[in-house]
Amino acid sequence: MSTEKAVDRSLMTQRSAFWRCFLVFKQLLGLSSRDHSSWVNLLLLVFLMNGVLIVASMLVGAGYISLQDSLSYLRSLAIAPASIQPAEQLPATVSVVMETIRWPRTLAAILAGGSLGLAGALMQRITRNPIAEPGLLGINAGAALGVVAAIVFFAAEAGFPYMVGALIGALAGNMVIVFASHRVQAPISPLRLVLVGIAVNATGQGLTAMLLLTKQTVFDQFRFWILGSLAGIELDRVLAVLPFTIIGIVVALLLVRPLAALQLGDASATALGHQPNRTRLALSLVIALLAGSAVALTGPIAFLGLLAPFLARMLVRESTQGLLLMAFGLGSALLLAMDILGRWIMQPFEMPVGSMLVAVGAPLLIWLVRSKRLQPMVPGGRRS
Amino acid sequence: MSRSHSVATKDTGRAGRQRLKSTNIKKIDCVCLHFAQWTVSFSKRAFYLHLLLWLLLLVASLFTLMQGSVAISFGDFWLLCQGAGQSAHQLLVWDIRWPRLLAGVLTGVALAAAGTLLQQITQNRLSSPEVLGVNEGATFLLLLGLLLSPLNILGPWWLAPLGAVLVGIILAFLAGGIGGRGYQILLVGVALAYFTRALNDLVISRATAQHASAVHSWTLGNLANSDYTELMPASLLLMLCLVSAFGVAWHLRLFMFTEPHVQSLGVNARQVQFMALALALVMAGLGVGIGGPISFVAIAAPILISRWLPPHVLGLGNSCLLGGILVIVADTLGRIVLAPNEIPVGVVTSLLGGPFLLWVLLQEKEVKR
Amino acid sequence: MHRVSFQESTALRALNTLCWLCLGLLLVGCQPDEQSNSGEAQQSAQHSTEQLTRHEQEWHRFNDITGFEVTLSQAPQRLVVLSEMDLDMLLALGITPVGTTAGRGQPGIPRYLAQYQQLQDIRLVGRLGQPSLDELVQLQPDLILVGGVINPQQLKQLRKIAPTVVSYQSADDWQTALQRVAGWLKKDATATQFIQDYQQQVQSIRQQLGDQQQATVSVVRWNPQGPGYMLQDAFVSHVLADLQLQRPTAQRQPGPGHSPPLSLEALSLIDGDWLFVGTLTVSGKAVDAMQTMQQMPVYQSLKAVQNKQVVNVDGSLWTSVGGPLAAMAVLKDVVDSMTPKS
Repeated sequence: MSTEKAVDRSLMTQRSAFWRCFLVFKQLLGLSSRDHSSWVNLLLLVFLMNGVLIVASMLVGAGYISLQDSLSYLRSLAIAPASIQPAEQLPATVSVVMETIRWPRTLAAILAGGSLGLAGALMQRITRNPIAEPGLLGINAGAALGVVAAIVFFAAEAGFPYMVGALIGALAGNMVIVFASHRVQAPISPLRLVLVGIAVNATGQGLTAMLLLTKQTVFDQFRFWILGSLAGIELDRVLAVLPFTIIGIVVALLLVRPLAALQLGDASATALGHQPNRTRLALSLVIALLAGSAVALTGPIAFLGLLAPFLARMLVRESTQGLLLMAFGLGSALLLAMDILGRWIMQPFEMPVGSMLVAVGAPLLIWLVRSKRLQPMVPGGRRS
Repeated sequence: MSRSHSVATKDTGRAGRQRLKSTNIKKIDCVCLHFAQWTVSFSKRAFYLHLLLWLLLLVASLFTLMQGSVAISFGDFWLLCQGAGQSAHQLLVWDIRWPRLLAGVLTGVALAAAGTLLQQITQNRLSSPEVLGVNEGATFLLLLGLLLSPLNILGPWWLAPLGAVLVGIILAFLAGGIGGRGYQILLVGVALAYFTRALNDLVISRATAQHASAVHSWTLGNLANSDYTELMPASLLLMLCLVSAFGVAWHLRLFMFTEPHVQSLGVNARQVQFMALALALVMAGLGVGIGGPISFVAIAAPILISRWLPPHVLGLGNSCLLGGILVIVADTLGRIVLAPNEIPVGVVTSLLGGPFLLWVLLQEKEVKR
Repeated sequence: MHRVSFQESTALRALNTLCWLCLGLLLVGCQPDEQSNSGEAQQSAQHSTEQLTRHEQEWHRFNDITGFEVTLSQAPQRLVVLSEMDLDMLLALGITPVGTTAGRGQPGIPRYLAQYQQLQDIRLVGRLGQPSLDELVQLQPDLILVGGVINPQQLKQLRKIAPTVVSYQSADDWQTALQRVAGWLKKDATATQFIQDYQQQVQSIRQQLGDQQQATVSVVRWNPQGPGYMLQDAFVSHVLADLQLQRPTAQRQPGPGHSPPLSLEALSLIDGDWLFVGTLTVSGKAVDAMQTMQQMPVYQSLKAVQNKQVVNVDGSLWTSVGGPLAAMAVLKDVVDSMTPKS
């Protein structure tokens, strides 16, 4: 307890606003502030890590702002939070870059990464399958198709219209997955799920390719967006998507108990008074919302929904809400880390974050498959 | 399935039918052809399907040769076949569309054969070269050839089978073996496909903007500018592979049983698997080398064929024919719909193939024999 | 009587596959006469036999930059061009082609050529780099002009349709290319006159620039992820070099195209005394997004923006591969924007 109190106190001095929010959050979840089970501490650590990464993200860039300048800008913010006056000796470009490029980008990374991580965790829980994730199962491709279609047919602007297009696309993709997976009561074999995902992915990508080919003018811009990247994001785009992400997180956390009951099987869940089908439906909507908001921000990114819940499961075993929060936190941390790396290795150009995630995620999938973690999930059928 | 069991002759004439009825044999499913003292029985469905597919191929070929941005009427076409006709039409049909038709048929045949073999090896109806990342691997080596060549053109066609085989080796290594009840190899294949596709995207983004659109179009599967010089050696290799594939096909059908069963029937499972896999990889690579990574032909053709054939018939020949038909029909549609702009054949097949695959998946029960 | 099942018998299957093999060889090996790998050799052989028999009717014989020999028996009436530079050059020489590919990233002919009336009836034969061979055959051209990035396989196919010449390589200067093509088509006088006019225009602009002669000019092709600057061997860089205008230090990299999109933080790399920003289309997503970027503070902090020396230009003109008419149009843009208004 004493070490935790020490941690609390030091956090209070440095991240007072953040810690207060966290306490309130804990109360919303129904945890008392004295409930210091291990996963809460781990979660705290993860959020701390996120904080460090946020600071790092604000310090690193593909441009030519020196480290000292960035540090002094941040220090000036921290010391006088109320009045944001850049110190006179700093060039104006520093504050401009910080506020209009790095900050929206950081925020977008947190939102998108967290949403994808959370969506992946939810999908894995619903389908009881450790390799389900929005990217592999084609939801991201559906959302991307929604965005491109919105642009081509409705001349959508970035921000809210993107969000609508992405949402519709993600819902459509999710509908198909849900329909294909809920035909039997038993857990769906991982293979069949992935293959449904490949089909949805291919349809989405094929239609997107078709739209891009017929509209040559759009192809040039979306050549890079399709790979998944955080470049060129503006604050109002992020703010347009923020409410949807928050709604998604809140609803997901509200559904924690029914979700935990789902793990026991439909019969037991019904016996406990829950309604598994309605839960699944509601959660599917949440997944579509989260995935759609992530894609509307950054373009389709695969494998994050696989990586984050996988790591979260290693840290949190017993608590569903802990798992969900951890997945969110780890997802945002991962995306932040990848983005920082992408900005650092190829100055003054940037490496798209989607490609780097594949480089990490694909070996993870292979490892997952080879390890025995998937064995209990497979019903042993020879056919798909 | 011993020799003595398989035969059921269908003699014409009332006496024959009487005999059949009296002995209460089930409905005959063979077609028998008599040659002197020999009677060869074919599975009836396979036989008729084969004939039908040849007919369809002929029709599709005529469709391809006559349609395009410029449509040639049947009368003109008949003149062309006789050697007469306008020189512009002669040029169009024989020098431009005919090589394209051949390239399309060869690609379709190669990919469908590869898909059939892979499905039999992994005993999974939905495995195929593109799912396993083989197509991506073949594309990767070709794109490497693009980067390294001074003229900035795609590498020569033989890089593609090489790439396919390399990916196959990596796949076998990562999945810990090929055979068995293979969901594992498929999932590893999916991961490998993603990885290689990311590599390909990286290579394309390195290509200067002048190339990017053309290379991107090729990576979707494009049959434009097909020419005889590449087709000759590639098709010879393909023919050789097909011959070997037919040799191995019969044994592959046994893989629906478990491995001890197969061994007890006197077939060396490992050897057959290895042969079939090697052939599948090389043929997939050849398909990619000739026409680019065209998606969904390799999945769709074997599945469609197996729906119409009895389970003990592999239908390799039929799958190849259907693959060829699919590719050339998709190619011609791509040329007609948005003339004068051409839609690459891969885009058309993936547009049609994605929903098709979904339909197949949704129709199937969880475990199906 | 011997009974055997087809599926079981190895001998029968071997026979079957042998039939396939023969059929395959037949299809692929037995081709309609006169087309094979030596198509080009045969064609040039044909041309040379034509030349021997009708020597007195030969109009012109020349080699293109790949060494392919072409003999034209009369002045070509129907020409088809498969690149923007070729279209531009022919128009500058006073010839109107009958067919062309679309401009880079555009639905039709390049925007800066839209003003030329003689192009109203021109036939579009496909996208840049992906011409529809069907259309080409239907047009029955006498001569096809290609250039820039060449695909040898495509070239071989094109040469079956009509004599095809490669008129320039990627990094070539438009003046060299113009004189080359003019020499082929016996329009040397027109080309020389055009180049002289151009040189005069360049001289007069240099006079008019006055103190702006030392200014650095940055040329940027806009992209939502970040702008890409034009490299040193791009078309517009040649024109600016003629005007002896400098490029910013960061943009002096060799290459015929443009850089990958810059990180928005490194936007200072596109800064210079003057900034010309282009998009490939005049409306649509790229332009809207560009206008959004132009309101971003990081953009506002560029020196060129603060001095109000930013010019929005037609991307199809400035950031693509232009030709003689494009060069004149670029000069006009420079005069309109950079010379002090009296």
